[in-house]
Parts: sequence; C-alpha cells; structure tokens
Amino acid sequence: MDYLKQQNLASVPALFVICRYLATRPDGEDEAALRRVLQPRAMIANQGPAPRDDERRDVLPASLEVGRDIELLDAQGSRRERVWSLRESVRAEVAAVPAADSRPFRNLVLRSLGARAMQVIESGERPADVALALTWLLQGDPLSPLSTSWSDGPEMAVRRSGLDLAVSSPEQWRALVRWARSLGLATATAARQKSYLVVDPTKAVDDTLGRLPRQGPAETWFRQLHSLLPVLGHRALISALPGPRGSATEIPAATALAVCKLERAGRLRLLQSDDASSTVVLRLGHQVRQVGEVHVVEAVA
Amino acid sequence: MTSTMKGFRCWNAGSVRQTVYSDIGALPSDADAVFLAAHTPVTLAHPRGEELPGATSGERQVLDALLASVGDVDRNTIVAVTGGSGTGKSHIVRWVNAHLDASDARFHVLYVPRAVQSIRELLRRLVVGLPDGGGKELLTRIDAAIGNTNPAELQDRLLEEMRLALTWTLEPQMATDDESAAERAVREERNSLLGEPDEQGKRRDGLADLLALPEVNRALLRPEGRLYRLVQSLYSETSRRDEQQEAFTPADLPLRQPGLRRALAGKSGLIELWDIICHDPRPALDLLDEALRSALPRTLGLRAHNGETLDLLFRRSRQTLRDQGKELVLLFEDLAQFGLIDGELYDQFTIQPGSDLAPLRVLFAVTDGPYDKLPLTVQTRISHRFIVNSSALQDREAFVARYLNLVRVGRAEVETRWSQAQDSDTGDWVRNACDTREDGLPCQFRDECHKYFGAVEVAGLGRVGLYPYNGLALRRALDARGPSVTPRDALDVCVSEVLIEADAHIGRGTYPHERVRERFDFKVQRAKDVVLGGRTGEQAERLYRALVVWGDETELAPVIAEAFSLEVGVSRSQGTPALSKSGPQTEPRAATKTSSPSPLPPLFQWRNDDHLADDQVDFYRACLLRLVNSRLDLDQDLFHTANGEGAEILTRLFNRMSFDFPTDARGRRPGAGTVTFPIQRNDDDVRVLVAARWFDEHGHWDPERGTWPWPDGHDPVDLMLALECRLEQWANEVRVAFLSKVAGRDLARTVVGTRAVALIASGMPPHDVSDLDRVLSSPTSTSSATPAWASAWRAAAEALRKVSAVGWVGQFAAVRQGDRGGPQLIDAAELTAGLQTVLRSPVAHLRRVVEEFNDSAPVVASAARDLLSAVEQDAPSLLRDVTSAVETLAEGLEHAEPRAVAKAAREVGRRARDSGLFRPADGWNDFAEALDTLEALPAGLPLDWRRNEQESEAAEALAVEHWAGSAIAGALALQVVRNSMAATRQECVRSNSVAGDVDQRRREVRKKLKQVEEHLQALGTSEVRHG
Repeated sequence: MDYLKQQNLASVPALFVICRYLATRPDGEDEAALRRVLQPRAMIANQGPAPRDDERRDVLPASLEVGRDIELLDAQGSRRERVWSLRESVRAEVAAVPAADSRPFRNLVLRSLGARAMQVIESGERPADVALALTWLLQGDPLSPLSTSWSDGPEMAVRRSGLDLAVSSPEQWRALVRWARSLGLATATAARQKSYLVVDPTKAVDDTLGRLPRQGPAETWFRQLHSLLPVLGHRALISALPGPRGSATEIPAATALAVCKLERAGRLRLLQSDDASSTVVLRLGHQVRQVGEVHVVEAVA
Repeated sequence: MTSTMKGFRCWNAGSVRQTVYSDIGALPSDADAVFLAAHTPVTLAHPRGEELPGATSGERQVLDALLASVGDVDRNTIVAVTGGSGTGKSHIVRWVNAHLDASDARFHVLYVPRAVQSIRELLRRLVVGLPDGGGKELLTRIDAAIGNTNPAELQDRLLEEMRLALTWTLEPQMATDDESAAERAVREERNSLLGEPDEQGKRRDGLADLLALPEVNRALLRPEGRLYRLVQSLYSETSRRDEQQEAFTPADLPLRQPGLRRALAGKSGLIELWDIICHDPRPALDLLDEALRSALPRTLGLRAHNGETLDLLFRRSRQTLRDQGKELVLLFEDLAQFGLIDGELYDQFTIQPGSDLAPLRVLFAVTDGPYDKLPLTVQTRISHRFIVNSSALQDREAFVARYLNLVRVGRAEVETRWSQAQDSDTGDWVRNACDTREDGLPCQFRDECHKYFGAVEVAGLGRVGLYPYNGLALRRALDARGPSVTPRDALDVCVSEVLIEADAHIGRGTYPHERVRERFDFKVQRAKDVVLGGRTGEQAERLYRALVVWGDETELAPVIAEAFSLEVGVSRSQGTPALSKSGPQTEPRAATKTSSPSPLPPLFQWRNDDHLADDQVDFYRACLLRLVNSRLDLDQDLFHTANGEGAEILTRLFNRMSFDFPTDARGRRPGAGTVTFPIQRNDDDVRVLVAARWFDEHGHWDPERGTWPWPDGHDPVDLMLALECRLEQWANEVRVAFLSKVAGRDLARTVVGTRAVALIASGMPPHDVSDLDRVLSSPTSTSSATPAWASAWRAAAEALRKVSAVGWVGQFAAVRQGDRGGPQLIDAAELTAGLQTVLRSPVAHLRRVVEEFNDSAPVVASAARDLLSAVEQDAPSLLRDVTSAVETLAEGLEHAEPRAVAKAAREVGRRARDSGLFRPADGWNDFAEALDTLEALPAGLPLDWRRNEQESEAAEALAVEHWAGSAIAGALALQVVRNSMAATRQECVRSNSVAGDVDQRRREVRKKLKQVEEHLQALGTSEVRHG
C-alpha cells in the first residue's frame, strides 16, 4: 500500500492518539465511535469550514489504514462497520508509552514500517512509497541538506533519482517530511532564509539502542541496526530504490552522523579493531573512520 | 656565551630609560647625542619663503633658512615650523640647535627647550640667556608679584586688570582692505563687545561693565575656572603647557544663572549686551582671552612703568649684540610655551633691526591651530614657514629600528661617540649594535635573529635587527596605536614600554605576557583553538599571544619560540575529530571566491575578551533561538507553540535572552523561570556560534559554496557536529522545561477538568459531564440559581466563559496538520481518563489547579480560584437549604409522587374557589404556580439524601447542585400549597355554621376535602412541628 500517494494525510501523531485510545478499548471501536471521541464535534465546529473538504475526513481513516498496513491495528467486519482494535502484540508496548513523550511509540512505528517493507519485498512486491522515500532520503548527505520546500531543490532531486513513483507533488513531499521528522530520521531546521531538512536519524538510532547488542563487532551491530530499522540502509530496501545507488556495503553518511553524535553524547563507543572482517567504514564529508566494535554505553530500557 | 637565543636580550630596561625620550620636552638639553642618535629625518613642505640656493631638504633646510640672512643687519628672520601635535616639530628645532655652532662669533644663541614649563622658569631662561646680564630686577619684581600675594588676591588683581584692559587698553580693531564678510562680522562683534567710549574715553556698556557685576565676577573667580587654574599654575613649580593654552569657556560666565537681568535692571544697553552673549557666548569668551593676555603681563609686573621690562631687556641685549657685531638667534621648541606672555615676545619680532639693534634670527615650532592665531603683525613678518608633512613614521620600521639600535648601544657610548664625531667631523658616528656587539664583531645570533625576527635597512646604520619584534609584531604594535599614530605614541609604547617589559619577561621566560594584548594590535581572523591547534596547558595562553602577534595566527618560527622560552609542541586539529581526515581534507583549502568578507572576526575578538557589539549579540541570539526552536519537535507530542497559549508559555520560558552572553552584552539578563544557556568565551561556545552563523546564512556545510569565506582551520564535519550536538542538548533542555511547565498532558486535562467542574456548578448532572464532547461544547446554562448558590453560579458562568477548553486542547493535546494546521484528532484517552479523575474529586481538582497552574495557565487558575472560593462560600447555605427542602418534601409528600399530590390539591382548590371558600381569597395565582412547580418536580429526587460528613461542604454542594434547585423550589411550593389548604379548611369549618341552600355543594366539597385530608393533616402536622 502506498502511503504518500494514497493515504497522504496519515501521520504518526494521528496513529499515536488512535493507538493510545484503542489501548483502553480491548474490544475495539467502530470508526464512527472513534470519530466521535477522537474528533469531537466541538473541535471541528470551532475551526470553521475546512480548506479541503476531505481533509478532516481523511486524517482518521488514512491513519487507520496505515496502522493496519504496518500491523499495529486490526480491523474486523464489513468496510462500513469495521471495528478497529489494537493488535495484542503491541498493546502492552503502546500502553506503556507516556502521554507526553511519544518517542517510544514513534520508534515502534518506524520498526513496524520497516518490518512491513521487508515483508513486502520478501514477497516480491514493491514496498510502500514512504518506506522507499525514507530510504532514499537517508542515503543523502547531511552536509548538504535539502530544502523543506518542494520546488526549491527536492523536486529536482527526486526526479533525478527516479523516485517519482513515491513522491511527485508538494503534498506528498510535505507528507514525507512529516514522516521523516516524526520517525526521528530528520530535522527540519529553520535557517534565516529558509528551512532545511537535515537527514539525521540520531533519535531513531538512540531509541533503538535498547534492542541492539550492548557490544559487538561493528559489522554485526550495524547489520542488526539495519534489520531493526531497514530504512536506514538495509541492502534489500536500497536495492528496491530506482536508479543508480551508492555502495550497499558502506554505512550511509546520515547513519554515520547519528552514531557520531551518539558517541559525543556518551551513548555509544566506536572502537577500532584488528579484525578487518568485522570493520565498517563510516564516511561523513571528507572524514573517514573505520570502526571495528560498537559498545552501547547506556542501554535504553 | 650562550648557544641559543633562549632568554637573550641585547638591551636592558636601564638603557631604554636613559635613551628613549618620546617627549622632546623631557629630554635634557645636554642630551643632544642621544637625541641625534635616533633622530629620523623628516620631510618638510615649504609653503612660505623663498627657496634657498643649493636647496637642501629636511632639517637642514630649516637650518639653512635660519642662517641664510646672517650678516644682513637690516632684516630679522623669523622661521616657523608647524604641524600636528607629536609630528616632530620640536625635534627639528632641537636638531637645528644641535647643529648650530655655539662658538660661531656671528651670533648669540638663546635656546628655550620645551622642558621649560612654568612662566617663571621661562622668564628666568630668557633673562639668563640674553647676553646683557641684566634682568635681576625684573625677576625680583615678578617673584614679588607672585610671592607677596596669595592666589585669591592675585586672581582678583588679574580680573581687575582684565577689566581695565577692556575699558582702556584694548583697542577697537580697524577694517583691513582684504577683510572678508565673516571677518568683518567677527571684528564688529568684538568692537561692539568692548562698548562705547564716553567723553573721557572710558568705554561703557561693554564687557568691562558686565565684569563688575557680582554674579559675573563670582563666576569668573570660581574654583576650577579659567582664572583659578591659571593662577594655581603660577604658584606651581611645574605646570602643564596646556594650562596656558586653555581658553575661557561658557562655564566661566553665569549664562544660566537666574537673576542676571534683574541685576541689570535699568541698564538697557547692558541687558541687550547680555542677551547677545547668552545667545552666542563665543565672541565674548574670545574677548576675555584677549583681555587676559593683556592683563597677565601687567599683573605680573612684566610691563612696569618704571624699571626693567622684558622689552627693555631684549632691547638692551640687541643693542649690546649690535655693538659686538653679532646677531641674536632665538630657538623656541614650542612657541605655545609663552602662552599668555607671548605678546612680549611678539613685540620683539616686530621691532626691526637697525643701527642700534641687532637683527633677530628666530626659529620656533608651533602647532597649526596656534599658528593660525598668531597676531597679524607676526604673521606678516614670518620669513619662512615649514610644515612637517611626513611623519618620522613614514618608514615605521626604520624609525623604531633606530631606537632599537640606540638602546642596544646605550647612552654612555652614544655620547662618547658623538663627542668624538664632533671633533673629527665624522658623518655616521653611531655604530650598528648588531654588527658590532661582540667587541666589534657581529652579534653571535645576528644571522638567525635577522632571518626570523627580521631586520631593516636604516640609513647610516645598515641592517638593524628588529628583535624582540619581527615584522609582523612591529606592524601590530604600531597598528595598535591607531591610524594616526605619532612618533611620540610609537616611542612611548612600541619602544619604551614594550622593551622594558620584554626585558624582564624574556629574562624570566614569561614573554609574551598578558599585557602584550594591550601593547599590540590583537585583532584576530581565526578561532583561538584553531590557532593553538589543540595545544593546551600552562603555556598555551603565552603561545597563543606569540602566535597571534609574531605568527599572524599561523605558525611561529622555532627561533622565536626558543627566544621566548616557548615549547611549541605538535599541534593537532581542534577538538576531537568525529572521524579521521581522509586525503583531500588534509590539503590546505584553496581560497574560494566569496562575495562578502567573513563576519566572524568580531566573534574571535570577543573570545579574546573584546566587547561583542550589540548588533552581533542580537544576531547570535536570534539565530540560536531560531535554530533551537526548530528542533523542539513539541508537535510530535501534541503540543503546539506556533501561537496562542502554547506560544506564550514557550516564549516566557525560552526567548532570545535565554542565550546569556557575559554581562557586557546589552539587554536584561534571563529572568527567573527562564531556561538559560550561558554563552561563554571559550573555544567550544565560539565554535558553536561560528557553526550557527555559517548554517544560518548558508544552509549547508560546503566551504566552496559560501557567500563569505569558510572559517579557516575548521572542518565542516566537526563544525556541523558541534552545532548539531549543542542544538540537540539545548532543545532537549527546553523541551523538558516546557513539559514540566505544562505538566505533560496535565495542563490540557486540567483545563477540561476545570470546565467540567464549572458545568457541574452550573447544574449539569455529573453523568453528563463525563462525556468529553459535552464538556468541550456544552453552552453555558441559562437557568437561574437558587439564592444560596448565586455566587457559585456566577463564578461557574465566568469560568465557562473564560476557559475555552477547545482552544487549550487544540494547543496541548491534539494532532494538528493540514493546510491550516488546525486540530484534527485529540488525545481522548488521556483527556477522558483525566475527566474521570476530576469528577471523583472536583474540589480537590480546583484546589490543585490554583496551586500548580498559576504560572503556566493564569487564566485557568484564576477562574478555578474564583470558582473554588464561591463554591466554598455558598456551600453551607446551599446544604442547609437542601437539607431543609429534602426534609420538607419527604415529610410533606409521604412517599407520594409530587405530581399526584399536586393534582389532588388543584382539584380541592378549584372546588373551594368555585364555592368561594378558597383562602387566602387573593392567593389563587400563587397556589396555582406552586402546584405547577410541584408537578414539574423530577420523579427521582433523592428525598432520602443525607449530608455525608466525610466530604467537605463544597464537595457535597457540587454533588447535589444538579437537583438542589428543584428540591428547594419544590419545598417552597409545597409550603404554599399547605398554607392555602390550611386557610381554606378553616374557612370551610367556619362556613359549616352558616345556613343556606348550598348543602349539596358543601357535601361535595367535604367529600373531596376528606380525600386529601390525610395529606393536609400530614402537612399541617409538619407545619406545626417546624413552626
């Protein structure tokens, strides 16, 4: 299923409130009931007419569909009267997410989205457009960020990469930026003249540290990282990108940036090793570093 | 002999003190050798006077001009050397004096060096220097004038002499042929200020008359006034030259003192004059200066009517010299020395020689301003004017090098060699210390010293080493003195102070010491940590100073480091690199063509303790605020801060002033409750500011694509990481503080809860309030409150009006996206759970809002406070009313439905009314209304309700409020019914004794009455019991 093109208004924050509410409803809710409680009439009435007729109507169903596709939600029943519920496999994890700190939830979405993309690839199909677009984005150079404005560079870059199948309009680009920010893969940094999308998966990696080996050979560690977060540069996803691709064996610069920041923050230690077979190359700008071992200094609970 | 330059000095502080005199006035008159050894030839313009044959240049042409007419007994020669302060005018006079042959029989030389400072000493010099041998009487008289009076009296005499000068002595100026309109206006103004002469020739209604006024007199004699300071200087052994060059200022006149015009009452001429002076005091002040110039010689006795005067002494001397066939050469290093007595001197200039008077050959130096003010009589008699138009610093390195050589050779040797040179008429008599230091052989370090510290070619000396300077350091030393550095400035600091301090510190191995920053231009173009290349430790600061001053922020020659006892060590790149450098990065970056200069040097200067300009601080604050704000990502957790309450809370918490630059930056300091990020003058913070500025203005980290040059020495990756990590850290701190301020989702829950409580207080049943949508949208109730609950009712209505839960929820608990960023979904799980908590203890909720959210949500806290207060105030009376009502209803209705009771009572009443038995006779409407109320009472009124003593009255009141009104109204209605029934019954009883034809109707009434008798009986019993 394509998210950017078909469920353009789906978003991680919307999934957050949906899943949190459904976590309190073991038997689930139908869409109308969900709408009543998550989209109270008072809130809607207060906003006046929507600029686009389908905007309000679509945020909830679009997010529900995406939630179902990445296997956070289940839907039972006929299309009009489907009862939505949170999957039991994630209920405890969602219920444990603090109300005012959605980072664990966003990491769950990122992992689920990645897992779903890998699943689709394994079945011989094309992964969701957002998974492809994020993977493409994360192959970019953090030292030369793209503008957040579609027509100010991104459009050309997307076309050059043959990624039109995933992103081809300002609305879809905005949705991609929204996904990238929410999933901790990029920051929208406001400079004096304009805003830039800096690819930087530091938050995503940081929130995944607890699921990674406390220490181990770099090659293994990064392979596990890609396994958990395929959009960071899993070989299979990179292979699914259209057009020419960078080396699948090298750690993308954005990931290099993330681990370097985490090293500076004292969260990781990147060590050299004599064992060349387990070494990975981190390249960022003109700086290159060979890392043999990775130690997680403080495991995330 | 040492083998390295470590600690080497080829001068010492003593030799500097003995040889370097920046102020020619301080140079002893017998120190010509020292003076000449370092004298730098100057070039002069010669705008006035004929060009002399065999045209020489520099000082020599002044000497030639002075002596050109020697032998011409019919004409004086007056030569002026002019130029700005500190340009070396006095040096020229000094040079001429040194090159005049004192034994030349053709003239007598009177030389007045600038060292002579006080008037008394100046006169003594003149008297002693003139050849006649007289003057004792004059000096005695002047000493008496000063010694026999106290300063106050002398000051008063001076003022009186000024008044006399204004009245009698000063003459009106006549027009000249070539007078301009402006000059004419000035002249006429002056003459007008003098006043008009009366028939005796005494000028009246002029400035002199104003001086007689006590107010004006007191102002002129006031402490620290012009006259006061002048008289004080006369009593001092030494005085500053500028004390005699001062002028009267507006403060010397009582221009703003009230009452002046009153004192002038009746003197219209003076009033008019005073008004003119008040409008523009400058002409009057100039005239006062003129009067003082005339008065001082008289006051001091220089112009006594009898006995010796300066004029007399000069005349006698010139007569004596004429007799001897000699001429009088007068050399004045600074004409301004004569200040207020220059008139006596000028008189001599105007007296032409003749058969009885020797000619004068006068050379004086004077700055441009005073030169222009010389009296016309002097101006017109000047034979030559030379203007110093090239500073001795035209070749700055050579200028300093001469002094460096001088201090190395030392005063004693210079004087010996000068003496020998005069005897042998040798030209280049000063030796080059670098070439002769080792017993006539070159200094052992000369070659490497000249190579690394530098050397300059000096005319007459050869190559002179710059040590302890090198070319860069000398440039920085001179640049530090500013663009208009004078030789005097250069000598004071660049030679005297630098060499004296360097002697001590190089010897101790502590050079360059901290004060070097002040002595040298310490402007930098690169970041300190880049210059230091990661070197740290106790020597780092000293090394940094050396790298900046001697290395121009790049590198330091090993010989320089050795001489200054510096261990340079191996540099490494600044900070810890994230990754190692690969090939291309290690190559020096080729200069990229950019459109603007780097804006970073002020930041690097700030790192070195300079002030950072306000606009720079503002820029960095705005830039950092923008960058951090974009990293907060609060919207991901459903907090929105673009506008409204969210923006207000965030701005109070985090704003431009959160970036706390040191105290020299403008603006208030961050207030309490504000997140603060100190920006320190350290390498890390400077690196972050550099990175922030680069990214803010370029949006990338590509050095080749900048509009201004990439900051030299920085690696793009390291800069990016420095900024990224710091922004992350700051954003996280702001995020934590914000979440703490809004207590996570609690603020939204609180607002929803407060609104829910207000709805309950307005009479909405708690069950209805548990529906989130109803809380968000429910309009204010329009029904009225019972009197006991009126305050609480009003407070609740106000709270509902003020607290728009929709707005707060949209800001603090909603998903916002779409073109307008409006709220799309809300965090229902959290808000619903919160609502349930509030409904369990609404009063506790209000109390918590008041205590915890006054800061973050003052409007909500205020509404909660008012509501809580009103509820607590009204609760006791409401509970009393409810208790009473419940009892009334329970007892009165005796488990019957109110509607049934009302129906029966209505029937009885109607029949009684129809029978004329209803009482009170005019109470039917009230009775009917009460019955309506009874009929409308809800069926489920809890008439078994009892006050729960475990709960507070406020909580209980809120719990019963939604039915309390009905119960109280019902009880009141029941009371009306009971009263009517009781009165009607009495009327029926009374009517039983009255005969009539209404027996049948009476029986019917009795029958109905019997049906309700039980109820009425019960009501009557209750009424009796309750009184």
